[in-house]
Amino acid sequence: MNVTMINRRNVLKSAGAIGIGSLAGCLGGDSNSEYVRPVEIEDWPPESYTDELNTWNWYAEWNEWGTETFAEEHDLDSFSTETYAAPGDWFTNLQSNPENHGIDQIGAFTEWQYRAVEEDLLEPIPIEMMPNVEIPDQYLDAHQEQFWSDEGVGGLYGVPHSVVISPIVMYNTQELQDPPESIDILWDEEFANEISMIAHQPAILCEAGALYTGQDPNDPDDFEEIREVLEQQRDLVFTYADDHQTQMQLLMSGDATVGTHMDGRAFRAMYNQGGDVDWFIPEEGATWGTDTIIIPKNAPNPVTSTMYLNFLFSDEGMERMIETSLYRPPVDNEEFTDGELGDIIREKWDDEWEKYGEAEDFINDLVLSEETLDNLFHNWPRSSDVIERYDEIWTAVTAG
Amino acid sequence: MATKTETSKFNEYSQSVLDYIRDRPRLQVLLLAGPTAGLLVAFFIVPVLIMVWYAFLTGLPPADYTMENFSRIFDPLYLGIIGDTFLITVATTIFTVTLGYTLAYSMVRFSRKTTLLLLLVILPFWTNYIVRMYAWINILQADGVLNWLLNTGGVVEGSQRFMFSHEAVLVGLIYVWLPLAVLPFYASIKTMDEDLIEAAKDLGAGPLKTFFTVTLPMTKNGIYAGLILVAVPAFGAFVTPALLGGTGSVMIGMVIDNQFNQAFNWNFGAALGVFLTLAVVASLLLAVLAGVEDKILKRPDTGGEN
Repeated sequence: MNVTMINRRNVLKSAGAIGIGSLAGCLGGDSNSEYVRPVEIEDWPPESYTDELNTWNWYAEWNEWGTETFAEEHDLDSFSTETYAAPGDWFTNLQSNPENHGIDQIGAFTEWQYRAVEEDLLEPIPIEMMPNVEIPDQYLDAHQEQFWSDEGVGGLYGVPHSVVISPIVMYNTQELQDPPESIDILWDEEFANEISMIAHQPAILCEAGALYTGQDPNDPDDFEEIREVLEQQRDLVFTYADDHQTQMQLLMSGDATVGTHMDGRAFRAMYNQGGDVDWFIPEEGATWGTDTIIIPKNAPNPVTSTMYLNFLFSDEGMERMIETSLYRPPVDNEEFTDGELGDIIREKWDDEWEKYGEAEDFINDLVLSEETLDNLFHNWPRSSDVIERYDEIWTAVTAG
Repeated sequence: MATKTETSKFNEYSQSVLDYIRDRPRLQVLLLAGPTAGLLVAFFIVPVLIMVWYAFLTGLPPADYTMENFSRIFDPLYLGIIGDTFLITVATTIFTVTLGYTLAYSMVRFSRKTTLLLLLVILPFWTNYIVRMYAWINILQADGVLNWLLNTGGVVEGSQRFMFSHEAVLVGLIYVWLPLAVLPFYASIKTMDEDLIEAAKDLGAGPLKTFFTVTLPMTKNGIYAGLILVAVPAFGAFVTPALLGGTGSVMIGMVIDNQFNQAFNWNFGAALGVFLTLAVVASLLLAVLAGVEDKILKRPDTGGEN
């Protein structure tokens, strides 16, 4: 009888073989296929691309529509979309698995994009050869200055897809009509216990303090003064809202008469939910920044991801971004007032998009005049010292 | 389809594997405990060690070593927040344990529909934590359910502000952790020998004396489990105070969350995490060493085993 004898060496050998086999299965992929970086794409549209796409974006509805439509048009075999709770989620993922994270594209914003660039986690994107990416200089220059690749290959780290202004002052129109458009209102004792400050990030709270004290929010001279005025304000504030939605609800319900927020969220409150709220950019100014789309290094499908990014910047893509998020795309004012995008907004506003209020009011809100832009600070660069000092102030003020 | 010879060979092979394992007790232990231990090491021990390592660095690795992250914790600002967190944790634990024990005791002693009640206790777990917090926002907010009920009942006029207060945070934390406390209490009360209660009564003890000298000491393991299950997560809570709390309701978990997700100071966040972990473990050890168990259960020094 031929009985196979098992010994320690055989057991270890089998376990090793199973382990290596499983690992190979997990890693997957075709080791023979050539990896083409986005900046190495020679022709547009690219001659060949892989048929998979995995994207992470907190503009969930826009991204879901985009991947589905793009996958159908380009006959992709598979695609996936993910949202995330905090930017640290995708950052940690890239950092802990720099070569095997499996993500093709991420919706980010300036601060975290900067961190990812510093850690060498991103691919530059060849925006010059992408036909749909036409961003006006007023929005692109500031971004390009910080994030143009210095690798010698050209390309931009992250492409801005929406322009966000903060902190804006938002108020309940049932409680307050035609207020003076100054940030002083947030320190007005008349509104004691009726003020709610958005404070989900230290920066947005401290920026209000910097603007109130007439300082540059990106590089204030006197942090103590910011801390002092925010501590004075605390007696008038009934809460520091920790998330966008809560702050919107507080202002719409009238729990809060006045508070701070981001302009995109004011648009949502007014036009998506029909809330009795309005907003203004304080005469003292505010900051503006961009939400961006980035492509990580070692993305499994870099060419497909670049093509998808270009698709999101198509007229249809921008239209769907406005419809689903009501954020401001980085296009010339004329596009809103006299262009095709404005026409679409007017045409679809009531019946198809089922928004509240008037399309023309929304278009007016989207337009940023030169005068307004001159009064805004671009929110980057910001030193690690400023970030740390803002964090300390935020902790001290919100802890009471 | 496998032939008879193949089946026979497979059986012989399996048998030889089993014989091999059976003759080696250390291999048996390795096979039984190894996967669990491996998971614990990979997903608990290693991350904790990485966190400890980060706490001593000046930035993301590679970076220099420093003690600054720990010395910063002793800034009055952070010590104050740790103190506030401790107070909220103590209040949450006291209320939750008292309510939970009462509930579990009532379920065991006075109810016939125990299964249904247990199901109701764990029902909140079927819903996401954040959703449960938003449910509380809907209840407590100015135009919420509570205000509507109080106005309808004529108890108050106009909307009252229940949200954004320490009380709201306390309610939220008690609500979240109550089921976790009830389950070990229920298990310990249910498995207790009821004859001991009868014996105490026969010997002349009243209901209160019976409860404090028999029931409570006999269910101490459940009480400890409940205390730990409530106090430890309450100490690290950050979602509940962030959503329900007002000015001055910052807990240390929120500061840690902020270091990782906003301030990008993972090293200080890690140092705070390490400090708090050590503080919680040290508190538990000190409590045991100081004989808190005896004091809580009013056990005499010479009492011996209960």
